[in-house]
Amino acid sequence: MDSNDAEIIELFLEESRENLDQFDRDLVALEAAPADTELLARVFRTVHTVKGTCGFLGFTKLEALSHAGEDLLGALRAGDVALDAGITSSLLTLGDRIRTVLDVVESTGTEADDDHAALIAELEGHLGPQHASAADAYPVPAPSAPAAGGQPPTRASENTVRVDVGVLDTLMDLVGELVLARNQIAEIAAVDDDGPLTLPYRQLRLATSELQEGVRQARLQPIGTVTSRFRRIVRDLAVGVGKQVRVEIEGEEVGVDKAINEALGDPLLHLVRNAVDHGIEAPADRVAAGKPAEGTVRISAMHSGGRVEIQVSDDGRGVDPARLVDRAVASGVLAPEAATALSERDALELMFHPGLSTKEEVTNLSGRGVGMDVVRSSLDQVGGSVEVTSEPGRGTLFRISVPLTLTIMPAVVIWCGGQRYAIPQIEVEEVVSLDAAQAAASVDDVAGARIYRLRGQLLPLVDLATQLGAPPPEGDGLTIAVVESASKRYGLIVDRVGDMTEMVVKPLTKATRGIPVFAGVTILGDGVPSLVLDGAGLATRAGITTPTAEPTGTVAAAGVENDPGLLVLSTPDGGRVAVELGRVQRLEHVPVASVERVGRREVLQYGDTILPLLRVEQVLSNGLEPAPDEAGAALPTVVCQSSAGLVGLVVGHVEDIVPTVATPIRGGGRRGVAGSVVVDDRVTELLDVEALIADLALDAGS
Amino acid sequence: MSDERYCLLHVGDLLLGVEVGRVQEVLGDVPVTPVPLADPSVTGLLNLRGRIVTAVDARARLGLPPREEGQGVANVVMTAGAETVSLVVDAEEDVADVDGLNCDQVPETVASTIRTFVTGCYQLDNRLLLVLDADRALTLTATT
Repeated sequence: MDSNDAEIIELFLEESRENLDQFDRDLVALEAAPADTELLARVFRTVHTVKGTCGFLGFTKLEALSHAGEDLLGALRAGDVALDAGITSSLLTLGDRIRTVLDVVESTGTEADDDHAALIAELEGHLGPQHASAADAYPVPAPSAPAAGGQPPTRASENTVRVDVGVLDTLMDLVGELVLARNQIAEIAAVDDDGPLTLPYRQLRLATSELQEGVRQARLQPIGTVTSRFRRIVRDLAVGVGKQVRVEIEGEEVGVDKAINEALGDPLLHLVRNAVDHGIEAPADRVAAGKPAEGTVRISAMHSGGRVEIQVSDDGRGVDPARLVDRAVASGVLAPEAATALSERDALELMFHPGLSTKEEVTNLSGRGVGMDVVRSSLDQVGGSVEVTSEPGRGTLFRISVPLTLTIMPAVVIWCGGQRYAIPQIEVEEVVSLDAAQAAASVDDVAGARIYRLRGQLLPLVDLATQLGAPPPEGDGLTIAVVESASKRYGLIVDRVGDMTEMVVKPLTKATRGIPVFAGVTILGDGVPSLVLDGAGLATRAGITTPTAEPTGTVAAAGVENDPGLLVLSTPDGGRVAVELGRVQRLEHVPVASVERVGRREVLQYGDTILPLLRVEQVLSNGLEPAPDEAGAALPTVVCQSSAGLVGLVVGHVEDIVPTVATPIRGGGRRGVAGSVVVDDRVTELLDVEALIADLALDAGS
Repeated sequence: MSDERYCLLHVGDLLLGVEVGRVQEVLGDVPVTPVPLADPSVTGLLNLRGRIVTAVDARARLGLPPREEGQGVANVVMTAGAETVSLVVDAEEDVADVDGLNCDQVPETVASTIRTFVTGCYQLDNRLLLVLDADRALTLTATT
């Protein structure tokens, strides 16, 4: 085979695979709308093109197979045969078989020795006796003309190239280095505002930001690569169990990191399979319950606050919490006295319990030992979460939330024994600082185990220094990071809590891999590596093995669930303010040199937008000019989302993240302040970001 | 050819040699991040242009006493399998050409902790060059 042939085969493989994916989707759609001639024409064309190219390349067995498929599709087009589930199944099998042959062609350069006799017979069987071989009677639809004439297929897209993910990872590493170098140059450039470095630095800054974003984008894949195949899967499952199920898939274009996409596959498959198997009722039962015979499984994806939310829902029988509770009690997972106190939501949560879901799944679910606990733990591994709501008789809804990318995630830097460690921010619920007196009053020692009473809940304490063999923190106070990871909740005693940062998590090296308390390593802003703590691993090492159940119905627990909390900030002059964490996009350290002035306003080139900056201290002091910045300093800036776009709040220091414990006391009277909350016994003003933005706009207009 | 030239490394009183071709680069005393609970010969992790590199202390590997406080080190960066690893030595010297010299066996009187990591030795003018088995020295099994 010469190189020209090899190239043609490669094109053939690429194009055929793309077409076959579409073929599956079209067939399933066609089953729902058999009269759609356009769909039918496309399905026909795919098979016809495969047949034509096979003839050209000399793959006679595949040619014969696709010929049989073409005959059947031709008869469908002519209206001689009506599409039914049997025909659809045969055609889907045809698609699968063609794929298998394509894989063989790819690895060996030639087709397999199989003559596909059984499948050809099956396809021909749908035609009935009068259509022995009528392919030539059906004209070929126009767009496939070149292939039909024996010409090599044209490439589906001339504008894409395949890139190894390893190359993108390396690029990402190098961009990270570039950002560090840029930050160092920023400091040099800041010394002299009109110096020779100023202009080139600006260009460097812009190019670096765009490069960073570009590489990040390049790693994104549409989530449809995972979700779209469920059209076919649901159909096959439904036919298999004799149910009628319609699939609705939305948001296929939503881009997520390839690694996240891969991690989503199995959990989604499990949820969808459950929905068809257990959720949707048999058609007769549905009609008896006053529902349409056809059930619906819906999979939708959307961006939501820097994460991706995927919902899997069905309109089936729903989950009965009482049955779950009975099962939990029967299998010893739940004490009978605890069962009565359980709220409905907590009862539903039981389905994720490892001791509960697996057993019944194995028997009911085609023998696959994958339970709902595995769904949750595999999502946990990528920083994702899953929640369930259900209404008996109406259906079940699973909400999955995953980060956009695995490689960049917000983190909290903590100190222990003179070293910095990073914890994924999603694992840190809040940070509590106790002075000696508070620590004495709220921390109990129960036979060597320290327990902290947090708003009425008992929180086991894990001393990070002890776990890592580091010297204990100095002083009598305690700094506790409340960690929740893999359903284990505990207080981690650290020396102190540092900044929040964005981290790129890299795998540990071979020699350091087996240490259970570390999840990876990241390079901090100053270029020094820092270990990433594994919250679940730490818990296990410290002897916390059972998942900590949230107490039912308490205000604190509810607050944590529904409310992302508040980011507490200090202003340069020592005041304390807070913003809703839901608004916070990023925390940045903005070099003074990169701040530009437009009239009276300060702005910052931020990605490809202009970010208006607001000095919080100036806002709160009714416009008093803030102290001049030191040259070369970096301004801690909280980038917030508002209805009018992004705004950067220049603050003094990021202090803490706390759950919203109380409704803000309204009526502060000042513009830009929504009210006050009490955080750690101190009055903290809650900023009204929308009002601040409105003022800014007025200011610019005048 | 490259087998004939060795990078000379000082570790305690020993003079070790690593094939020049193995050495990717030599760094000075760069900051490393210690890894608690890791193998004691892991001094930490360092950042080599965005790549995370394990620093392995040659003294600890060879069973030699630890360095004195404040004594400088050199990081000899080498590839080990798919990873990049740094061998932490006391100092790095020139390159020695052993073309024409005989590779002798290491005498059995040399401590076994050292012999394990040495494949042979060359008699230089007035010194003994121990050829380091870099793969063995840099391969640490993961702690569990």
